[in-house]
Amino acid sequence: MKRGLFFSLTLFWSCFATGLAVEPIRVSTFSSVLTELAERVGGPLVAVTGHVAAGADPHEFEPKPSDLKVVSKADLVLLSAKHLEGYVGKLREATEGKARFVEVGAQMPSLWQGGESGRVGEKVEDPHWWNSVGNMRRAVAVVRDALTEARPEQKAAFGVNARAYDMELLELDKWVKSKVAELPRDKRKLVTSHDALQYFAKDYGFTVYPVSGLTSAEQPSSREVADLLKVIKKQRVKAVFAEDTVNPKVLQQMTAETGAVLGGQLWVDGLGTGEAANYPGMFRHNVITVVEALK
Amino acid sequence: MRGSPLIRALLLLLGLLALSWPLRLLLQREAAQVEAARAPATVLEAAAPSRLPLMLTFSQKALRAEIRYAGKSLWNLDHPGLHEAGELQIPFPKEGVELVVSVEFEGEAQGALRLQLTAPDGNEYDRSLWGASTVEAVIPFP
Repeated sequence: MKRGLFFSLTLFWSCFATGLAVEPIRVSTFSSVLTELAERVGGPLVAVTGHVAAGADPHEFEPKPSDLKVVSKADLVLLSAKHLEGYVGKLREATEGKARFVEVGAQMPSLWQGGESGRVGEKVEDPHWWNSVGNMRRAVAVVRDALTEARPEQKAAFGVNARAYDMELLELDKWVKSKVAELPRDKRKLVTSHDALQYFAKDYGFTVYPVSGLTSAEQPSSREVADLLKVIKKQRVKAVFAEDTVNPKVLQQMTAETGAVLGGQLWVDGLGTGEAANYPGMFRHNVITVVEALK
Repeated sequence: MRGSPLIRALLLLLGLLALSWPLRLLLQREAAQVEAARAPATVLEAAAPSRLPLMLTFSQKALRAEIRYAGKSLWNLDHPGLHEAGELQIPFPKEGVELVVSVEFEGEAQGALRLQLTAPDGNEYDRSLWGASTVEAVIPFP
């Protein structure tokens, strides 16, 4: 009896001590969506630093010395990839080869859009893969595998967390399909500030007419604006949508000239605030905003 | 620069005139584009509603079934027979339509529902829905 009690106490203490001794995996992420992903899949076994805050424009982000200092101590660096992080060289330099870099977006098929130069035939990889729930589900598996590689003994825990999050995303996808079905297919026309919703459009049968290109920094020419005004009228588009990170001035001009209404603000470059502070919330906000305005 | 002030002024004027010509052309083109955009464009006509024959075939007894389109309930069946035929009066644009179909099968066994829709152009579309107990899915045509 005493021996059994001693054995149980020893086992309990060794488990407790091991638990205390395990350092969390230090993860640096460069997108608010990846921050949520790492936290949800890693749970208490990871310490995540999100360098791009929710609501910030990832196209404009440049790492500061304080970011590089944190990255230099990271075990794992998660990137959106598809050419979004032009500063990746600085990050690799900061880690001196000690951290593992995982280009999450590189693991999923790309959409290609017209380039910024406007040259005929020039195509640029669209980096906004997270605007597809299907891609987000693929990303869950990529992050689960990256964490498992960093800490193989925690494979089961990462697997359980990944499955739970994946089920939530599956439910989200079902809800989106059902909500979007409230909008007849011939009304699924999106006029947005910049070209960030092509993955969303492909999944749910929309056509996107962006005011500017793939980055929010691009400004449309007067000819492009004039062409878009014609499209809005011809296609009887009821609403145009502003974005969190882009000045809605051009869209306001469009509403004044076409009679379309400003349909609301979308979070397309990452997580937002309030109800859009997590991925399912952000996606639901965007879908409700779009469907209700275009009905 | 040396020379009479009058000649210098004339040269300056000629220079300005030479520059103003391409500038005027550019401005005219810009104005024409904006004007074109302001002019009422030919708008696409919204698709008119059509009568679309729809046949439902249940693999087993169902307690209820519902067909929705664009957020509206079009067809509600209470204890439907294994074969039901009806007609949906909805537009069928060139992009097609999506129907939200929900079925509550009797019991827990896996059941199926077959939908056969005839489009205004005479094309027939055949779709199936599978599941146990209560099932809901968005079915695209085509």
